[in-house]
Amino acid sequence: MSATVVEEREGPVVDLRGVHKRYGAVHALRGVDALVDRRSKVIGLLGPNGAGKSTLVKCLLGIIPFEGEARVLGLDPRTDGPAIRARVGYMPEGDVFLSGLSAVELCTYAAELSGLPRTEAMQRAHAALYYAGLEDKRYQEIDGYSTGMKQRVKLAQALVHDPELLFLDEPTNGLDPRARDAMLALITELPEKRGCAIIVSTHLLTDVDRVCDAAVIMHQGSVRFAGTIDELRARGVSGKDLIVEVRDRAELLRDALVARGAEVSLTSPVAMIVTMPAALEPRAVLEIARGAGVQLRTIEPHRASMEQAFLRVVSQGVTP
Amino acid sequence: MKARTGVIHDLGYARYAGERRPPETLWRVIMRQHLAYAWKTRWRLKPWVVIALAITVGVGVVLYVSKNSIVGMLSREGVGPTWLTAAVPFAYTWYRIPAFMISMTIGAAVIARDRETGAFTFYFSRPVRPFDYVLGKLTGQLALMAVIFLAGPVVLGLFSVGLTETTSEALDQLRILPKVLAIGALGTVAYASIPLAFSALAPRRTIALAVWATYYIMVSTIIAQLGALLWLPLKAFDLGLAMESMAMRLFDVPIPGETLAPLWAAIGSLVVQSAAAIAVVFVMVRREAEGSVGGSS
Repeated sequence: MSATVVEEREGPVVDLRGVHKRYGAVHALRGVDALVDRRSKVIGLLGPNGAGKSTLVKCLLGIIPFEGEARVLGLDPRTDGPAIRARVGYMPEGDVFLSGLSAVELCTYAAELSGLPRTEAMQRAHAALYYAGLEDKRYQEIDGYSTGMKQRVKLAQALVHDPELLFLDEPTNGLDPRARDAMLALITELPEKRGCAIIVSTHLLTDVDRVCDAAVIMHQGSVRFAGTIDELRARGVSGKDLIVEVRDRAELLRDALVARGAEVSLTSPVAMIVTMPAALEPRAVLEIARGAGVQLRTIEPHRASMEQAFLRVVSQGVTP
Repeated sequence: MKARTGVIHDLGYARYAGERRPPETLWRVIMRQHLAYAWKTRWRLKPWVVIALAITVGVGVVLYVSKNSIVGMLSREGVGPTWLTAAVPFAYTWYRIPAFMISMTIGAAVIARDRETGAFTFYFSRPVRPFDYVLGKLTGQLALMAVIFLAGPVVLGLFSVGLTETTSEALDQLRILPKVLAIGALGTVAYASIPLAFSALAPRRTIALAVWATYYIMVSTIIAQLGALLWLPLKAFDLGLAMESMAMRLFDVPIPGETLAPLWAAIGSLVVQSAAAIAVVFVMVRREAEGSVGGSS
């Protein structure tokens, strides 16, 4: 039974101020500001392809130079790259396997390359594989593993050296629903069990919804949103989208609303989603319903899905 | 591979609080892994070490036979070279074969293989720097090549010293050891670094192997043949001929006609090609390091 880790450390995990990165004429990062404090456990890093997520990760790990101020675990990535990478775990999207190695050999090697002595590296390799659920298969060569098992090995090699911060790049990529569930469960319990913060880069907003406390949305090299998942959902509320429930005769209200310029989508015989025109306030629904002789049951703002909220943030350029 | 199974008794998680290895020493971990990889299968290293051993034994037998009075008389009469002197430099012609095979099974494959399997991401998301990676792979490959080009010839050199009959002869014969070390060191560096450069340049392992083999077998031979016709120093472009020329010149082995590249050309070729190769490896690996983590943004 693994012990729960409760550790308090000083300072934010990531602190970025005005981080710029150019590749020739291409501006990959445009003044990125972000603060990830110790209270955040699992943070989603979201954005369309080309948003700058990978460049940001490279900057944070001290792999490429950049302009601006940055601290990761209290260290400067520009001068302390190796020291940061010794304390950070990285689970990439693609394969990271060395041909001919078993899972335990790979994880031992990974731990040694992160600075652990050989004996300690071997012990932690076994423990990490146990945690990832590969205890039976740890002596098999990875070449013969299934996709789900390979994902677990990638998680184990990222964890094996005791990182304080873990980057997970598309951790559920290629997994079937059951394996995906298991992977998300592992990720959810990691901060409690291992005392590390996690940054998850993914396109799957359902995964973000399930495991993340907070999200950072990037678009065209800048941060468009940084906040909690609830705050992100709130961004999806336009104030003009309403959920309306009636006692009966929903089609009468629909016709009356459409006649006044609203967009209406019936979701059941007694419920609809209404988008009010700019000229009308939401409370106008009350008068229109009275005029149509329809009795209202409920009327409330329509809270968007994660996808809608994400698209709204990206398309409208909402800033934090 | 037969899988072992077992139960891990998890005694609870505790954060590692001990000392960590400094990044400057990580090349040793990479070198050790390189050697373990080379030793792991039956075909990458072991057969070629056995062949090198056989060459050493074979040349040792020749040296021993040279003690025969008839052979010794023929040598003194100038019918053949002095075997005690000539056998060791001639041995390099044979040692080149297992060295080339190791360069094919490991040297020219190793970096391209890492690129193919995503191992660069594995390395460079950790404290490993490009310099550590290059140093680890290079020293690993140097160790493998040293088994061929240094261990065997040094054993032969010591054996030839042991075959002498007087102290003054022994002291005289001892002078071959620095020569053996010099030839072996340069050959080791060249046969370790140049295949690595092809491996670093090629996008895939199969391409790296094909290009290295073409360079070693065809391109070098063509240039050497041109050298024989146009300008003798050009013959030293061929790594094997460069080593052979260096050995024959340093050991003062008389060769009928002037068919060998000059000593300066042989040494220069080995040094320049090796230096260029190491530079190429470093530049390519550094480029890979920047692109390895995070995919493409």
